[in-house]
Amino acid sequence: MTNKKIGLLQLASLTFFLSISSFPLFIEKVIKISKSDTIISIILGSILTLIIFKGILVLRKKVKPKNKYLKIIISLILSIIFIYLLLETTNFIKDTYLSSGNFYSILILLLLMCLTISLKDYKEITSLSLILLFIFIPLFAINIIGSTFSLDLTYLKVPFTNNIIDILKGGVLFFIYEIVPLLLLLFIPYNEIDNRKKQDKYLYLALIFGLLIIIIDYLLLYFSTSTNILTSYNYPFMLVINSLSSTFILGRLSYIISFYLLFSPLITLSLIICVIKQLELNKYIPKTQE
Amino acid sequence: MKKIIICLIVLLLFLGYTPYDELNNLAVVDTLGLDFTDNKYTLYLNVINDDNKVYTITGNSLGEVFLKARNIDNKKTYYKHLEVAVFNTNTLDDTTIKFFKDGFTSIDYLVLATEDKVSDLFPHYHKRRDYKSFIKKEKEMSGSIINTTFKELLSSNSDNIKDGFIPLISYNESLISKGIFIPSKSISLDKEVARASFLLNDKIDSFNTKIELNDKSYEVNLYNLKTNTKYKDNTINIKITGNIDSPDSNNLTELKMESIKMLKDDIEELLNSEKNNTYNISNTINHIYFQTRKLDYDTYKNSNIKIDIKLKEKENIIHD
Repeated sequence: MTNKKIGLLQLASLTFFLSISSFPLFIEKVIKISKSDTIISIILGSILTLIIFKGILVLRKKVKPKNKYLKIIISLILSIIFIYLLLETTNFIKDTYLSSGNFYSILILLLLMCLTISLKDYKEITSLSLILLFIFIPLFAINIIGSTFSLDLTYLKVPFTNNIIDILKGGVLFFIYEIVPLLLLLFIPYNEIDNRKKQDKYLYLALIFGLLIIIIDYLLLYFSTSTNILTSYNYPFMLVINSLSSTFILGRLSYIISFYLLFSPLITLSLIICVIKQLELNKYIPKTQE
Repeated sequence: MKKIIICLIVLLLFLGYTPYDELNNLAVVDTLGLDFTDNKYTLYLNVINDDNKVYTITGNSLGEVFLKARNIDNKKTYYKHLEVAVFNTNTLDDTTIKFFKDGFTSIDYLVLATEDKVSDLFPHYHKRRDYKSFIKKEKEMSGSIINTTFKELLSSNSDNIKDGFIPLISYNESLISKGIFIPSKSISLDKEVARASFLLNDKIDSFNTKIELNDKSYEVNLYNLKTNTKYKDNTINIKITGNIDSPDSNNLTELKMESIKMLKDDIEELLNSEKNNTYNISNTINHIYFQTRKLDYDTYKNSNIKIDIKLKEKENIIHD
């Protein structure tokens, strides 16, 4: 079916976008639980993710779902995750960028975009994620450089002031938000990548890079305002984006730079459609040779 | 299949929901003032696209005032370009700050406080560039005022460790800076003490001041100031290094001793006020907080303060 193989760098950039899909949308839920010790929860959740990811990499080589009922159950679960993520992303776009827009217009546009991306098989999504990675990195760098001028180190708090159970709960919640998109990698066939042997190393590096980006983003948030204020906003990261406007005298243009936050939900949604399509329509014939 | 989907997307984009605000139907506000006299709130709005005209709205509560202010002269009031907000000190409490946080989407506008009536101040100074240029000039000259945004006031006010402050201004033929006001304790500090707190927080690194010596007045410029605070053995050690220069005199030694004494007095006054009234704007108590793991004002009160200021004189230039 696929004569050309998926490139290694493309797959790594896909992993990167899957690993940061939780950041702009769900970080507020973790902050509400662990408050000023959220950084410890994030580190705990990251370590757990790295351990479980090793298991995912091993499972990729072996498991191929053939049972019909298993495929239907997996497709149902993925559809539920898809609908949840679609609604959350539409909420994010409506609250942040298009406040007087119609919710359903934004939803349908987003859905059509994801359908267009996932029309072919995995090669198209992975190439798109590599292109988006090259756009993501400079915009993210501008964001960091612009926000460092409005950081205030006096917001640093003593660690472990909160209940240890809350910190653990926050860590587990962060781990769940991270591992669910990464489980989609199980469905990308192991044999379709060129340079098979180096796959594990590249994917691991991409995950570490993604987790580092989340930690840097969170630290920018932590040092710019008090934690009590962060919990009263649905998308607290936009406060950091706002602070860009005072550094670079950009005004509302700082919102245009922030569209890189939408890349990873888009990639995740498109990948879910691709996987459901592959499971249900049985277009992919697994190669028997190793 | 792809062509059908792309056609649908393009169709949706062209026929989509396109609300827009006609500029002539909006009253764009860039400066606002809030006052509380005779048990009534008064709101002053400076509308840019009406030739900077000031509109006054009164009401019994904040909600009523802003509800009445939704429509000015048959135009919808538009606050997204808000740049400066001037409050009277008797309006600054938690309910007002929370109302402003919930009411406006942006939190990056500058905030100022005044102890005079806003009804006297606003008719003379109601454009944003009046306030912005005043703050910039005053910061470069005397270092007693800095740009404080509503975001900083909000975060410091709701933080457990810090207290929020807001610059205090007044006017007498022109705008003058009067120090800072702390809303949580309703305390105002004068210019020199405010300058000392900005210095301890690394918010300014140079300022000019007048020193009186032998019945003569000298203009002195302190620059490249860096502060370092440490807490050890129940003593707070504050070290300040910098340079001193004066265009009025070539003998800087006496001026240096006077400026060091003045700076020490200001810092001691600030720290003593913090100890007696239990608030934190200089962030000196943070060093104790990191060791004792709680905000301990008793330890702070009993600790000694040691201030060490070293100023280098500018080298003498030999003129031909």
